[in-house]
Amino acid sequence: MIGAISRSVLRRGWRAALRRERRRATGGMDMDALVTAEDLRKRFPRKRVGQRRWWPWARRENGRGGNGTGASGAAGDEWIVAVDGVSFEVQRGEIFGLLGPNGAGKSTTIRMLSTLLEPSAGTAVICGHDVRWEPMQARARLGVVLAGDRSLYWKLSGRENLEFFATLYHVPAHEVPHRVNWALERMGLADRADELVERYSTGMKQRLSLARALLADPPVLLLDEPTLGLDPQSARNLRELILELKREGRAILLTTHYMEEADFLCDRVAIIDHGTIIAMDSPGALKRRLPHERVYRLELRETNGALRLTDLVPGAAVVEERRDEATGTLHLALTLAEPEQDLAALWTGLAHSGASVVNYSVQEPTLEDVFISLTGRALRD
Amino acid sequence: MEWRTDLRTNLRVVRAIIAKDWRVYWRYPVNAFMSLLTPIMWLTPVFFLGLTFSRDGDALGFRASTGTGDFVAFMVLGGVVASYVRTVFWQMGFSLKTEMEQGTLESLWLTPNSRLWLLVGRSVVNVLLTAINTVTVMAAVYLLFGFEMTGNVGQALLILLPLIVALYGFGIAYAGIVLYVKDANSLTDLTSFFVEVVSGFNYPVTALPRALMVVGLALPVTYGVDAIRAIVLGTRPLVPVQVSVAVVLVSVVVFWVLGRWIFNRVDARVRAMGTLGTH
Repeated sequence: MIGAISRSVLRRGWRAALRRERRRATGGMDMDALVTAEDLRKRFPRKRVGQRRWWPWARRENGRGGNGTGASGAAGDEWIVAVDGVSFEVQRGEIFGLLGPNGAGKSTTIRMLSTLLEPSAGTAVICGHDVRWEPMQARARLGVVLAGDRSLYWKLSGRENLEFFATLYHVPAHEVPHRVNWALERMGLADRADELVERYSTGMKQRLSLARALLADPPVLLLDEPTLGLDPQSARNLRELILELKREGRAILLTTHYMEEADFLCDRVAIIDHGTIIAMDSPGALKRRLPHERVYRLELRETNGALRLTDLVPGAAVVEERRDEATGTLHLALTLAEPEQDLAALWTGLAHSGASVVNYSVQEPTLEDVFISLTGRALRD
Repeated sequence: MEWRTDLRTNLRVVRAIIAKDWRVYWRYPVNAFMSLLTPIMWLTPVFFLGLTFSRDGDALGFRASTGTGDFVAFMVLGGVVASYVRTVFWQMGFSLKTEMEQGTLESLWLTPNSRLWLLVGRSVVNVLLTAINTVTVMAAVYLLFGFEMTGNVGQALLILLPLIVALYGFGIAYAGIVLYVKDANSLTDLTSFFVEVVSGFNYPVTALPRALMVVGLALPVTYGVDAIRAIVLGTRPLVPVQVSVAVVLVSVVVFWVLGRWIFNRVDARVRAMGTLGTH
């Protein structure tokens, strides 16, 4: 029996390696990518209250009849599809963000990449190691920070936590004190290192989690909602740290539902909704896809008091109009259907109307606008 | 040699887990103190009840049934094995669930180690803590009530040690089952109590009704405790001591092979279901 199991494992490992080689040969995999997800899928059996099945065979029978129909599948479906065919790569020295609302499949993707969750289908590879067939090798190259602040031992001090995890990450014994001190210094926790973690603030616990993720000096970091629950100052500090880690050449995959964070940190962003990536590019490129979402703000001093911009520029839509009685100026915010032509028409029209422009600015669309344009919903809906 | 490096690494991991659990254990000093006090509290009324059945410190009826009149020593030896059974059910069985409730299980599972070795580390610290606890309780009971152990304690330890190893093989499987079932308190309470009843930790197993005795005789732990008493107190054994030793040794292999198999199955199942972080 043991021989048969070993043969099966070897065969599966060999097949995975063969699949990887084949993809490399056909150009399907970027050799510089430290993280590769290919057609990754995860579905869960739908559980209803009072329908818990205690017997494994009962679950299997129901499982066979199930069909994945998306995260919002209709009532009566047996499966919930949390991640549905997600593919991406993260390069060395790149921050790649998974941006989406709660329940979109971001954390499930990270959990599959970190070997905590078995993918239903597809491939996930960390530094050349398939997470399904070489999970330990994959984990050895990963630093992971999961959402929430309970992943540390609260009854141990910060230093004791790091010493414990340094050993579990196979840091050589003689290097442990040095590496722990380095991580504590780097995260600004050196002066509180010997206090119990239960006395730390949420921000300190999050920094300690990041310190733990760095102990083994991993080439890949997976950060699940790293700034969730932090005050603005702590969140800013943590973002700066993440940028530093990127500059060291690490591949960083982070999930967030804060669009400003994704915009500030990420070199590339995948917008994920209902388990599917619906757009993937740099934040700038994603926003440039929405030229008509650019908002033009004007502060005008009129001469005749009866300026109608929509007459001057047919493609303009006024999204905000406010008269400032104190200064006697008109504040307008517009979007333009054909920005290049409409902008020329706007300036010409304004010159002819005799209105003088006191202030002018262009507001770029945000990733939130990108998400709304793709899904018709706001990120926090 | 790669396996030697792997073994060294795994032993380092086990040592780290022992150190961590040891520290955490002593950061709850009241719990530590109560774990010493509770067995003495349980034994005290039984001791005084036993005295009322004794004449000149010798429980004659008890001697007729077991071969020894020292019922305190009889119960203390049963208590040693019983404390390991309870620890296996409640400490080992719930070790992963406790980590899960603390939120630290996923952090452990993310480290590049075999999950089985992480549990082995937990088992070792459990064995050590229970040993310290048991010896302290025995010393306290000796001072309070007094008992005699006339036989070869070293030989008894040679049976106790493999019995503990077998119990922890079962504990690894049970830890996996609790991780999967989650709401296992009632199940554990019932099973642990039932094992204590049918294995004769507090009385000879022959005192049980036939149906319960048959169940008791199906459990290796019954043979282990019976052989230990026969060696240390000179009680009449159920079967020859050599047979009990063989049963215990076979159970080591069976429990560890089964325990490992069940744990790996449950671990794979839990990872497929995505319930590792939920409770």
